[in-house]
Amino acid sequence: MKRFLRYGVIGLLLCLATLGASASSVPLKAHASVPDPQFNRLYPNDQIVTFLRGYTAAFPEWVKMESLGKTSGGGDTWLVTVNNPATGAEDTKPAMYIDGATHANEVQGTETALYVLNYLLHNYGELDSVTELMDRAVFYFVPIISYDSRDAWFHEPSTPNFPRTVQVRIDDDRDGALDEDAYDDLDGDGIITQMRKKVTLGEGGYRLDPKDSRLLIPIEGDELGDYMQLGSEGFDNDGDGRINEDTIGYLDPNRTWGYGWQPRYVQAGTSQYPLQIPETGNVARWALMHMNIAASQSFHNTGRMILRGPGSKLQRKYDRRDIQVYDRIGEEGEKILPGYNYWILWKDLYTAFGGTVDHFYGVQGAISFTNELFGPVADFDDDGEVSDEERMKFNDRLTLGRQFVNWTQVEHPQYGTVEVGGYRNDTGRVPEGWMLEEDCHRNAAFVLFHASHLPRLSFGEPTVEKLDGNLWRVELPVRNDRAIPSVTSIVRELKLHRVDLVTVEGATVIASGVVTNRWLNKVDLQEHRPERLLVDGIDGNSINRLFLLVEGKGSIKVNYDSIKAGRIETTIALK
Amino acid sequence: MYRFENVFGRTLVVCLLFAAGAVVAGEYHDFDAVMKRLDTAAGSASAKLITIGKSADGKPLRVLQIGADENPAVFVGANIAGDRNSGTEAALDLIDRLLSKESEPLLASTTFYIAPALNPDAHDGMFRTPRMRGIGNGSSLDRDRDGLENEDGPNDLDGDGRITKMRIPDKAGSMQPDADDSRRMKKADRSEEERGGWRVVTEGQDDDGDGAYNEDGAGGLVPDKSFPHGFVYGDPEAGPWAGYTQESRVLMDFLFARRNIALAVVYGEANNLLAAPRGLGGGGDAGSLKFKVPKGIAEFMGLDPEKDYTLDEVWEVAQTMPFVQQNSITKEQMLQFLGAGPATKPDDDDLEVLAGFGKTYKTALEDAGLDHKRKAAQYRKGGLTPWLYYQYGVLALELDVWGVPKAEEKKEDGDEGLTLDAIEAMDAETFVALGEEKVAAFLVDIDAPPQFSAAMLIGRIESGEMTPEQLATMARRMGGGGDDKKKKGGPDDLMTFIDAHAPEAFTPWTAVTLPDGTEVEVGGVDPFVAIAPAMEILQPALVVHTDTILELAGSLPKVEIVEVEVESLGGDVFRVRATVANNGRLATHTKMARRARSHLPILLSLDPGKDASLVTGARMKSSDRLEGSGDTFSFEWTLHRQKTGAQVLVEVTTENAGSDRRMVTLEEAGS
Repeated sequence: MKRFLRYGVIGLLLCLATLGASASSVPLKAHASVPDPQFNRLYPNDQIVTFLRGYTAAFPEWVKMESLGKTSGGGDTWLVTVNNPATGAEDTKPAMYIDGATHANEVQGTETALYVLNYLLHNYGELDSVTELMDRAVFYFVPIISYDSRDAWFHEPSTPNFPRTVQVRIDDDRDGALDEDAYDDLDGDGIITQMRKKVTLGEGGYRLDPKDSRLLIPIEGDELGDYMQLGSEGFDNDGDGRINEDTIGYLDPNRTWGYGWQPRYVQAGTSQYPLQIPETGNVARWALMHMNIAASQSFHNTGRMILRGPGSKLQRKYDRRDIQVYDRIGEEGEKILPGYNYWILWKDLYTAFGGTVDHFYGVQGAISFTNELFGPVADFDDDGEVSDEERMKFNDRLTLGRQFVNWTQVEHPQYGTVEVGGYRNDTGRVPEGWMLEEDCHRNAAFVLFHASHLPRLSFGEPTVEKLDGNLWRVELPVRNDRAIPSVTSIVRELKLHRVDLVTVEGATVIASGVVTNRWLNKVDLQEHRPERLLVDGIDGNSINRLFLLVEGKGSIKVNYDSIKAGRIETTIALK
Repeated sequence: MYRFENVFGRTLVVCLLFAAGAVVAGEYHDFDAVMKRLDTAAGSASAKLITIGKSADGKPLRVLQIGADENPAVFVGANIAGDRNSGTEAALDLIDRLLSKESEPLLASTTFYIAPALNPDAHDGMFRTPRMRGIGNGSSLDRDRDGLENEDGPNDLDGDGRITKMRIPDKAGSMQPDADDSRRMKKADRSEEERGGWRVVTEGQDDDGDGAYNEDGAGGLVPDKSFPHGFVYGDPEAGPWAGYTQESRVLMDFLFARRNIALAVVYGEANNLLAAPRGLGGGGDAGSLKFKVPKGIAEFMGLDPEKDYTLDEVWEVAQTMPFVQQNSITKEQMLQFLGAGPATKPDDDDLEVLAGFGKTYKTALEDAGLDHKRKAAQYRKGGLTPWLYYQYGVLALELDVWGVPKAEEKKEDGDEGLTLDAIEAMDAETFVALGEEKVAAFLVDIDAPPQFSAAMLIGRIESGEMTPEQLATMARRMGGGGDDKKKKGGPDDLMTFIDAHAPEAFTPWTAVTLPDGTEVEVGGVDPFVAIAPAMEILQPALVVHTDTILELAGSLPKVEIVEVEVESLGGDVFRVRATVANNGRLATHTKMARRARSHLPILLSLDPGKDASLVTGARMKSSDRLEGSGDTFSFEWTLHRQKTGAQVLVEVTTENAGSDRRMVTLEEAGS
């Protein structure tokens, strides 16, 4: 096996050298002006869609855009496909799937997905590694999963955390009324911030920070407080004695995917059954027709993480070989993305049933990550925590006061005079413009590293031995010189689709199999139907040696057809 | 597809001809006939026919609603299994009875949703030639993941019009003809020096030459494997995720839109009144698991991320934390966060309810001359019934309507084995008097786990820790049957039934040569004989089942306001106290429904109207569950009357246990 690996590495180097030389001189020709989004700002959906249309106009043969269906609130699930038609149809190549804004408030997932798309299209023919990747792989983008709520985040009063879920009405407080007590924009500034109230000394749990009256500090010891914190802006709309307890939703698309799904009493925020909502259902049903997806990436915020499944301890354990692939890509990701942790979802973060990261592994069989973009930036004293003072300092010094809306007095129907103020919706979880571009780029670089490990198959030198008359023993090495196997372990374990298929034209196949030791003449023969040889895949960075006993003359054509690694063929002379 | 003129010609055509179409299918309803019956029923004033979607083949999925939209309701779904046509007949029988005069009083307060044929594409297997059982819908499927779809199904090799079995001589095979009854094949018992020598598969050749017989036939995704509770990943017939199969999905949508349903009966392959439903496993469940607390949370809580904790240990720490207190985080929410998982077995109290119905049901069977000790299957993982119970959140049971009765056993003196039924009826003294030997033999008989020894059980019953009845219940719950097990050497239930009632259902073993030259023998029993008997045999079972459903329907929970007291506190201030009761026999929510929070709680509210206002407190109070037969809950409001004669409205609402309202005037009692 080791020897094969060594061959693999040499082959890989040769391959890269030849591809580099041949493909670099053919830039992607634009038919119209190519969109040039700036990655120092956040774009509302309509502008994102305009960019996407712009790419299809500029590269009509390469870039296709279609709606996979309507979303809960009447938006579209936009899919953009990037495929080089000159090197084959979509379903003959391995593919990578990339999405963003599954949680609507995690807006910059969309910009990050857009960055990958834009980077690919601007660098084909310019950078050899990008060119090679685009010649052999397909890229699928769904930049906005929660279309309607991302729209609402931009255009309606919102917070850094709201709206997070899709526009489906759920009776959160189980009182028989739907979404009857949402936030209220008391000061009419278009953002939902916080409420605080000055009260009689002794009635509150807080007092003003003597150094900065924008901040409250909790009382300690014998101190008396004269301020109360009242939570997010809003009042008791339904008279039940609670504030903001039943907003739109809560139905969290990232708990609705198909693999490892659990009902609401086990997993808060999910749908009544898997993929019931169109935001995720549209994508899942489409993806089922695209089992060539061998890698997937979903963009969320926040906390700087590269997450892989399983999302819960109850799920089946990952096979060692798949874990090796995850570790290879995830550990390199930690270097590409300084400060990011490569974590296992349930073990290192929390249990979450029905996430994208599980679905794309457990249903599609793809190596699948979810990245939590961005994270705290105001830790001036490097103690690992961001205090209220530090965050305010960042607001004052770095954003010149942009992030924090100063307290103003308003009348509240239940609490009387209150103060409203606090951090804007586009802070905390979202970087400032001048920080966004770097996070986009590094994450895109991680995606391209992941994509570069989509399985890549090539034939080695065949050996042909005449046994008798027209009877030939042919051995044909098939090599995968990238990390992701042509059939992941999970595909075999859960029978997600057929494994690799070898067929021969031009001769009768008497027997077929896979050579397990070519020096000791050990062959794992397929017992039946030798003309349809099913191969359990080719692991990352390794070789399988096909065994074919054929009866014929002249030459044979061997087709190796892998759902996730594409199709290759070769002609072998029988002599 | 090969034709077998040659082979067919050589086989004993004459002896097979009488067998074709032998089990009378004529009186069963094929799918088109079911639809015609529904069309006719829909003409009745109290009925309404609803098409909820289409099968994979485009056939309509239909539900007949009988009764008003808003009343507490019973859902009866039949033959989602696909080959349980006797269930369809039971559903049609129920429709007839409901549309007759006798049901008018029941329909005044109760609604029925009846779906007689929930798997249209598989429904007609018993009417086709060859007769063949199928459970999949009409989609195409690459079941064996070889890249080809539906390429190797069964074939009627002997041309008898039905798919039976095929036995293949094979030295490595573990089957052999049963010496007691040469029609049957049995597993060779190596301890008895039996050698086998045969392999038994479904009738049909290896169409695709892959070495497997009939591994990828017609019929696609299986609706009764496609529901979300206990869904099995990695079974191509179940689909890529729960609810992907359209028959299952549209049914869930239909039911979710009708939360007035309080009871569901599935006519399928299991019988939950003869054998209590067992857990489907699957991991999880509250309290029983140990957790590692995720790093981030562990640091926050001061716990060790490497150590295993029980839920209670974590909760002990959590509830002292300001974050948990301020956000009113419940133990249940914490459970979710830690990934405790779903329920893995039915709740004990809910099982008791089923057991109660089981007693009545068994008596009814006995009175009708039907066997209530026969074998009873469990429902499937990912099936409709477990979903109805665990997730949709109603009392749900599956019934198979009819099964092959247990063959009478010849009793030999002194060798009478114990049965669970016998133990159930015993008093403690009689049980103790049995002695260790008999009890030990019985434990072996029911495959009791090793920790249950005869001495221990006798001791516990002697000391009064446990009654024989409790022991029997426990044994049943653990899946011990005793009743299910065939005594060695006893008569075979199915063959005995065939001899008495359906001799034509057996096709004698006949030599057939497969196209690849393999010499095999084809024969065995009709695919439907054990589940769909002749109509005159089925008929009494239909009556019992319709009676049972009508009785169950009379037990639905019924929440009513039983008392509203108005008390003057002086100065135009009044206290109003309302009490509601559940006057139905069943609880308002199953224990599982309460855990799953599948339905809204019982909501008791007061609307003060324009002439009064609440002095303080909440307008609404909720209760998670009221037990059956008169369990109550109360709430009171303090009101300020702004105008003499002010009236306030007290209202109780539930989703599936009815609603009630009462207007009261704020005035001195007796004034």
